[in-house]
Amino acid sequence: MKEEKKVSRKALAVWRIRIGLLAFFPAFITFFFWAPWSVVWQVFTALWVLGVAVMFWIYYPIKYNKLAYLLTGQAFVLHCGVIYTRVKAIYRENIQFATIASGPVQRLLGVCTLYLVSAGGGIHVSCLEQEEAVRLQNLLCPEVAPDAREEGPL
Amino acid sequence: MSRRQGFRHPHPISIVTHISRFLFLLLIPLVRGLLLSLQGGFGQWLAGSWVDILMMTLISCIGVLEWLMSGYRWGEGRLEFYTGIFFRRSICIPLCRTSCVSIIHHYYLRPFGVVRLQADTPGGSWNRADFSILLKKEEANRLFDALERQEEDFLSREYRPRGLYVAVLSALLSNSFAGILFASTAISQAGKLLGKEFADRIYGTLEQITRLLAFGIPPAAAAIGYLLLGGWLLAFLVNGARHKNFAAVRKKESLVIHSGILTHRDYFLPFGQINYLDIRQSVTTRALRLYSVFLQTAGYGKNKDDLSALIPACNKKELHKTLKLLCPEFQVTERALKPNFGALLKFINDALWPSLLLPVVAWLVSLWLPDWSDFIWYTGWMATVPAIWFLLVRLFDFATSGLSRNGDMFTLRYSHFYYLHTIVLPKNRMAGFCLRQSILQRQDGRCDILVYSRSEGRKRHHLRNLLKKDAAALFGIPQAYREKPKKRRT
Repeated sequence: MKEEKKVSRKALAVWRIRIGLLAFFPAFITFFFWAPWSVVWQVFTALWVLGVAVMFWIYYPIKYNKLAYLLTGQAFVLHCGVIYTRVKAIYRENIQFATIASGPVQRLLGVCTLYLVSAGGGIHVSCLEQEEAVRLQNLLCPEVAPDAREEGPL
Repeated sequence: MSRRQGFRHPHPISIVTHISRFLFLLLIPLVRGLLLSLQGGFGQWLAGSWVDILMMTLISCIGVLEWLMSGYRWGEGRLEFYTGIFFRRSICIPLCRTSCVSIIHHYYLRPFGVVRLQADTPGGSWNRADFSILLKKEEANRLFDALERQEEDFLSREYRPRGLYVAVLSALLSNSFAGILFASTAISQAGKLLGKEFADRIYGTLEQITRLLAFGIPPAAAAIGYLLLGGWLLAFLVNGARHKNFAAVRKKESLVIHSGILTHRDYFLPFGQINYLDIRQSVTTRALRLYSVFLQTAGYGKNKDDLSALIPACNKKELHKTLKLLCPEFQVTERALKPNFGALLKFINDALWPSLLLPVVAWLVSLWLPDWSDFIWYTGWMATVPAIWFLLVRLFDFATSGLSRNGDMFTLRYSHFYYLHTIVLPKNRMAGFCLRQSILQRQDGRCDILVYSRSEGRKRHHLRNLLKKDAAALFGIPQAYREKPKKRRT
């Protein structure tokens, strides 16, 4: 893989659903302590609505645009970061094992997260298509038994 | 309770260590005796002493039983150990996986001919040895000899530092010059401010001694000074005793290190398990052009009273010579990438603001509270000294930090708190790295580099403001560098 690859487009949906679910908590507080005439209530409500809106329409699209990965001959490279631009890399020889995990929202949309673990560090790529994650796992863990490769972890 | 095939019990003195773990059970008879004695019922306590005796017997039995239920053996390339009465545990450590095997001859165990044998691997607990056992000295030595004997065909090379260098390392580990400067300034200032008040409270012999040794300083300041100095000296002596008789022997595939006067320590470090070398300097040792080299490998320097040095202290010429002698694989290379002059502010930023603002704040507060001005100036100055010291470290860091690569060996130069580090890290010990670029750095294509090295915990090395394109090329991932898109003029 010489070209950079993007993660699944469903990543945006996953992140937005997550923030939507998290927004239930401040929304509950807002409705429970309903007092639109209070300045504290107004500031609190404005802050969380603004925060969610920024994440929804600005932060996550930028995050998605910047998130890309690349597999070179000697390293796995991940481009990420919104405020800070980050290039994270791990040499292939130093990868101890690779794990694939998925939460309920990710499972719903058929994506998963790939964790590459080394002794004392590691990186993860969220929202990869399942087939791609399994392909990367097999590529980066050459010791995986052939049967296990076909079966896949999910 | 039968002993497993080929296993031997640890030394019976282990019973004492087992018992010490159950000492909390003695709280019951202690509280009971205390309550009864308060009620004046010594007779009652005596009549009921069978409970205490029973408790003592129970604790002793548990200790003995645990000793009987534990055993160890070594052979066939592995160390094995089992223990536990109710919850049984069995450990098997292949010797090829050990990163450090050590024998600690504690001074209090020496009369019994007992030593502590410890073995550690890159896995397991980050603050405890994976295998630790008390056994006879001869038995431990036999294992150590067997480990060393594997490499008999190799002409070993030995390094013994001069006494002065051991003293330098002890001083470096006991305290930094910043601490001494801070303490001495604090003492003189405290003497001026609080000396009289404190002096009234000092009495008896201590007062006389302090007055005799005060040499014109207020007795309170002198007392605090001597206390701090005494504490530092004690730490210095402990470190000196720990590093005295230091010797490092390079075998074919391992390093053997011996050290200590009161408590002797012997370490066997397989060379392949060494994560990196850390050449460390404080501002003081930098001014004296001295270097101390530390080893990072799982198990070496894990406990607070362990060693972690490879070369206690030496000058630059000796450093290269000794590194070539002990670990020629780890060679320091000159900087290939270094920060640009424009990065100066980034380096000193953290230290500059406190250095400037603390005296200003002290001045403003002293204007606001004139009655407290002496105390405020004293506190402000005390807070400024470490900040200025930190500024010095950062200036040295700016002048020396950088990155280079020689084959599969990376040399990272950076500072962390009050120390300047030169890390020699093999590629296969690099757990990962990150080129981190802020919005400001994006303008001139610079980035900070975070390198994570292999260790039981998470160990990060932070290099500041290096050229991103060159760094990506140096790490062997030039594809990872994205050219900044040029703006089109319409």
